[in-house]
Amino acid sequence: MWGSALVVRMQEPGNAAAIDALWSGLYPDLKQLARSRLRRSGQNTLLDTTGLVNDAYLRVAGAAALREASPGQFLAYAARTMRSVVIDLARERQALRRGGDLARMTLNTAVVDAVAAEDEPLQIDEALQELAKVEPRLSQVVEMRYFGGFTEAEIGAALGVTERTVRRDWEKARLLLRAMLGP
Amino acid sequence: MTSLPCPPAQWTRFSALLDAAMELPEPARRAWIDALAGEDAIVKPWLRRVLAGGQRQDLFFFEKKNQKTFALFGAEP
Repeated sequence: MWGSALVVRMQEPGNAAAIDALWSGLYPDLKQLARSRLRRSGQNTLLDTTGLVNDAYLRVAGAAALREASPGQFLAYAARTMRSVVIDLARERQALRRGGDLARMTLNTAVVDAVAAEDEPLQIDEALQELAKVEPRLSQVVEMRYFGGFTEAEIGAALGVTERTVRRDWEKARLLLRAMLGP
Repeated sequence: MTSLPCPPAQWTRFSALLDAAMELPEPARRAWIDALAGEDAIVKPWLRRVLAGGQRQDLFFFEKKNQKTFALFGAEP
């Protein structure tokens, strides 16, 4: 639960270097997690795992304003950063597919499913932009859980609401997103 | 292009009624929605569509990808 680690570290006094230390500590975990995704994706994987981790690190470390941020703000920023990373990577993969690899492949069920799964973050991202206009908290809960990977407890603490509220928001958001993205 | 399941002009009413419907057990929802009257009746079709989508989990890949994303970032599903 790296979200918990972030909260604890941000609460330590005099933590001007906390963000650098946090992401330095997270780097191996993120890299390993990215590697495991690479293995699961098999030969179709075009992800640059080092790029994924570096993107996340550089984007967070470069935000000087984070040094004044509360734990809740920090988690929200981290989730937004990971959303940005995932969307960028999904777009790159989409562009690569359009560039040729997929064109040479036989389109069977497995390939179609894989493409749909890879494009899903882009669809979720687009739907969340619309949802945020009318339900900003629901959008943030999805961002923190789906893209950031935070637990309900972490999200509740960050947003100042109960875990039950987070669960209800998540279920409501899923209903709405299904309606927005479904057939 | 995705669009909201209910027009923004009706969203406040729709959202509050969706909250109320989610509190009810599944069998009671249909009758509760059918009984909506007055201005609340306007949002019936959108409520039915959104709540019906919750029963088609096998047709939607949000859950599957959600698990993959959690695995990617190391959190619990």
